[in-house]
Amino acid sequence: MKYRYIIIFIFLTHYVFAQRREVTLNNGSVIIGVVKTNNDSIVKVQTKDGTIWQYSKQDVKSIIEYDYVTYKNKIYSFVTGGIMPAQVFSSSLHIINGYRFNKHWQAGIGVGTENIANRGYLPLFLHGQFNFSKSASTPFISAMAGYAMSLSNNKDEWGVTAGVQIGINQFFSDHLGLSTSIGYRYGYFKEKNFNMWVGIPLLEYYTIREINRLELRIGLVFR
Amino acid sequence: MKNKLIGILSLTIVLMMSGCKDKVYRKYMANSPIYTSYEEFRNSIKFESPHNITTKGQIYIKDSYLFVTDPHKGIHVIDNSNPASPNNIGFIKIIGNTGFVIKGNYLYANALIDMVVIDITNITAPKVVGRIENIFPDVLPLSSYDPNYPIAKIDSSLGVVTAFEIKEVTEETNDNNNYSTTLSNFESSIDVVGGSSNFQGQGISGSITKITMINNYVYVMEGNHLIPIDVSNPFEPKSSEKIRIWRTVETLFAYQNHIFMGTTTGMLIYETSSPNNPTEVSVINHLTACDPVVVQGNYAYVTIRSGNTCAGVLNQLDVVDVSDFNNPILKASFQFINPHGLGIDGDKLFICDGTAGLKVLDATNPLTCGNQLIKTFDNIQATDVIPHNNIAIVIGDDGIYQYDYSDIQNLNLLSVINF
Repeated sequence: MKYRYIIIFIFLTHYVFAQRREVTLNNGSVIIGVVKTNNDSIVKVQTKDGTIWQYSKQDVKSIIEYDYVTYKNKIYSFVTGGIMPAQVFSSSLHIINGYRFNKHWQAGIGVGTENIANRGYLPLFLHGQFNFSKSASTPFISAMAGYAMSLSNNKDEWGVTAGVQIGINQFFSDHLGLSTSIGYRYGYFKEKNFNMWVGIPLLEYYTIREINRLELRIGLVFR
Repeated sequence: MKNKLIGILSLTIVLMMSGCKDKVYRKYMANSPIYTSYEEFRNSIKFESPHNITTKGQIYIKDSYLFVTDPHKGIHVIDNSNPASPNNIGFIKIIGNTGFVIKGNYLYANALIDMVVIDITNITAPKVVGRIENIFPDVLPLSSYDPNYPIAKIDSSLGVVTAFEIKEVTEETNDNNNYSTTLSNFESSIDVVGGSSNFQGQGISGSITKITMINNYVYVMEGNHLIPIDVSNPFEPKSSEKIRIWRTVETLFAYQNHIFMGTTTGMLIYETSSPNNPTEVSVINHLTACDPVVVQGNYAYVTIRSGNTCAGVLNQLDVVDVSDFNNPILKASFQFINPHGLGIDGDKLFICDGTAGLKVLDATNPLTCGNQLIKTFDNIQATDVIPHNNIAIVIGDDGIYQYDYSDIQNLNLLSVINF
């Protein structure tokens, strides 16, 4: 139950961040900042350096949401930590490097470390994400799938995993944002073992774990 | 609106995922159970045309018939009115049978998980008249069991396990970290190889047995438990509470309302004044070994042998004074090569001494019988013997041999039933 409150809290934090706007003047100038005042006569815009610029409403051609997503640098990175609650709690760290194709779609390759049922794995996976908006606070849906390499000495131990997430990216600047998400993770992990039964020769067997987990992730977005 | 949608979606996922669970499976080669429905299993007892004997089992004589168990399959019925020309007349198919006793016209046999009472008034048309269902719930058909593999999980709701096949199985387990499984129920399985009794109206069996009978009670060893079964009404047999025996019992022998148990570490004597609750009255210990036992007069004769499954180093015949059942006294021990089953008829003691052959001893004086070798028959390699009315019925690895011992110096081979 406590996880639900944590999730709700994380999502609510997104609303407290200010929203940046792209103010276009009739003379063609573009000012990017937080709109402090916008009434029938004036528009006040506070830019990143703290300066507040005031314009006559007549001089303002348009005020639109600042397009964070289509920021000029197309390369991005995610560093996120995750938890997957279960009887045996699992933790996860992912680093994803990717490319934004347009304001909605981005894809990358990820690597990380995960602990599944007290066993360490190194996941190598593909990651795709769809952003719903271009604002500083954009909901998204993402999916990942890949291979999990065992970190143990058992060379006959491996897994495959896949998951979907929905979440929100909240950008604080053009370069840094916070990503929080919640989703579902499936994993299929197989390992070969040997065991000695009473009176029976050494016998090989396989242990197969199928995980069906709620996954909570939080991390930073760099670009 | 969009944020509300995301919030609702998130909460929905949280609620949905709270029902998700991990699953852990084990995949391995195992003795995988083959099930027979309870109905089919319980309707399977029938009389069939003669079968060849494939595996040696319990031998038992009743009146003019010789009964031979083919372990886990059933009982061969042989008309032995002329021992020189035994006539295999048929086969009573009993799935999972390993032992039996006969009293009057009723044959009491284990049938895997059940105990059955079969009316053999007409031997060629046996009828099941009584049954205790599931009295041996843990018994498994070890005839098709491969000891090189574990036994897969058994789901008794699917029926009775009547055989095993080796194949890869996948089992869900709750064990999330460490794998452990056991030979489920293996130790509880009946491995009855014979039946014994010498009470009025009953038949006579060899000495190697785990099922016996005293008056109106059948006693069966199931694993480490002795189960008394009241058969005073053969149509409604009733089992009593199992009695834990803290030793590995190999043979039962009934004598004067007492049960002599040959265990791997000694001989136990139980009295049956309360037939549904036999109690131990005495014990004689020995080093670990196998030890069939027969009793006659005031003496119990116990063969103790070593071997693959018997462990130990002893190979001897012990003569125990049991004139006082509460205080058995080991009177004499004699060295043998590898003594298995034994039988006694009057003053003649027959010992199946493994590769050393069948030995006949003069037991006129029990305390010196081990030194009173009448004859060794090197060519008879037997595991159990019933000497009765000058006919020794001997069972070996390859057949059943019947000898006329009216001239003890010259056993006369009357017939052979080959396996």
